[in-house]
Amino acid sequence: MKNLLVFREQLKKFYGNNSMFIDRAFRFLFALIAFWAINHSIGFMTSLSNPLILVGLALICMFLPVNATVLISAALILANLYKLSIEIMAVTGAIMLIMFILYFRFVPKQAFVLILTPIACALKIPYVIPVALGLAATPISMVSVGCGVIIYYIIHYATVYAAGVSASTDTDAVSKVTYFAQNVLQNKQMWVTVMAFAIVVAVVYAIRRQSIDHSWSIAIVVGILLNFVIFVIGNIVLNVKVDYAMLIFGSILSLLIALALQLFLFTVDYSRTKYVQYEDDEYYYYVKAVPKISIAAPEKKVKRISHRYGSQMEENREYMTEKNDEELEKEIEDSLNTKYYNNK
Amino acid sequence: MLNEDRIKIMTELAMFEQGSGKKKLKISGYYRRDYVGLNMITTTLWVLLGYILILLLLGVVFLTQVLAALTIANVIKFIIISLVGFAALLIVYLKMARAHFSRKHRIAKRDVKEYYGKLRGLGRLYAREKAMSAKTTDDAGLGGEQ
Repeated sequence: MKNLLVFREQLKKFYGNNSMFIDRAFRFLFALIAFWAINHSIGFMTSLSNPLILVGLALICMFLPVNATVLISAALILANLYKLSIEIMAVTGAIMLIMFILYFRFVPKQAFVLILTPIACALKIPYVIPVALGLAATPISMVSVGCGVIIYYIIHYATVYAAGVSASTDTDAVSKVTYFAQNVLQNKQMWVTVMAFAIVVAVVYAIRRQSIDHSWSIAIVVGILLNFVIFVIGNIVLNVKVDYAMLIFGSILSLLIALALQLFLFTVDYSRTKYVQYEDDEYYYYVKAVPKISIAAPEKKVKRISHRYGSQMEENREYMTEKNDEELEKEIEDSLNTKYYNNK
Repeated sequence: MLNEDRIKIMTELAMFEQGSGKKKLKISGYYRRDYVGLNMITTTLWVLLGYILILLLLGVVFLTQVLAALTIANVIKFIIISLVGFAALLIVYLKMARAHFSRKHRIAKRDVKEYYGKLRGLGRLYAREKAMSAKTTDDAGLGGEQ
């Protein structure tokens, strides 16, 4: 544990020193993974599937806010779906527009969840998203994560639909739209996932806000278990298709990621908890104070072995630190004056 | 001469001006009622557009059922239900919008007030420095005469 905390401090220090580059690198990676995932799942437009274009777009996103990546990703999804069918693009565009108009207009900072959720789904770790949002955000994220799940299922269904369209191309526009919209919006698996994620966000948030010991760890474990149980119930009651192997694997992986996240967001020492009680004119206060664990990152000491040069430098440094600025300035001025008069 | 306090204040001011300050200065230019009212009108229009899109999507999803039940009585019933639904949605959104934009305006006003406070502090620092440099010049001048 101590090593992990030291590692955390070192990472924090490293981030503090290079935050500008690290932020940009993360933006680039986020954009690249998002564009790659979109292209990998629904890369119907061959002109956009060139890796150079994707890297170029990611490079542009590096210098723009995260929401620009979300908008470019949405444009990429629509462009690829246009190649598949203009009607499907219209339905997807309408769903996205509803999300932006009715929700993300009020909470634009959470728009990244719209892309992060499909990425996590593609990487088989979707269950970490609701737990992470419950830990780091507010219950309003229930809607964000739900929107993210809907986007994932639209993309997922578009790939399934592509095979169906190639088999029967003589269907008219209205039936294409109806077929796609029905299959996406009446997809029980999607609604079970939306419900499970929304409940997990709310429960994790509610537990981690409690003043009980180890509330964050309990919230993570309960969140992952609850997610598992909801999917099992969905499978039994609604006959939703669930891949149990992936559910267990994804849950374990999500648990590990959530615990790692906890290390960065909330590390306290419950063994040193203090309880304080006091009162003022209006209230009695029962305060529980839990100290944060903070370990200073060990600093590297460079010992100079070269005797003459090193020792001279050390002596100079010690001399400089002993004297204050005014004394040093005075000495320098004196020495310069002496030199000047000597030369004269 | 470099003044550390002045540099700190100037950095904070520049960060605000180039960051969130751009929007906040604009927002604080409105009276609260005007700002909230304007955004509530915009919200009404957006909600109307969103609601129409939702109805269209639902119409597409349940197209066969809609076509099967297309009678004048059902159309009237549909219009009434849609209007009631829109009114309910609009009330919820307008309440949310009022709370959201009032809070946004309050925060912008508070931050801009702080920004102007810092600007005044910077002005005072400049004035003090100017006065001090004038005083030292005068002292030097007097010394020269003596």
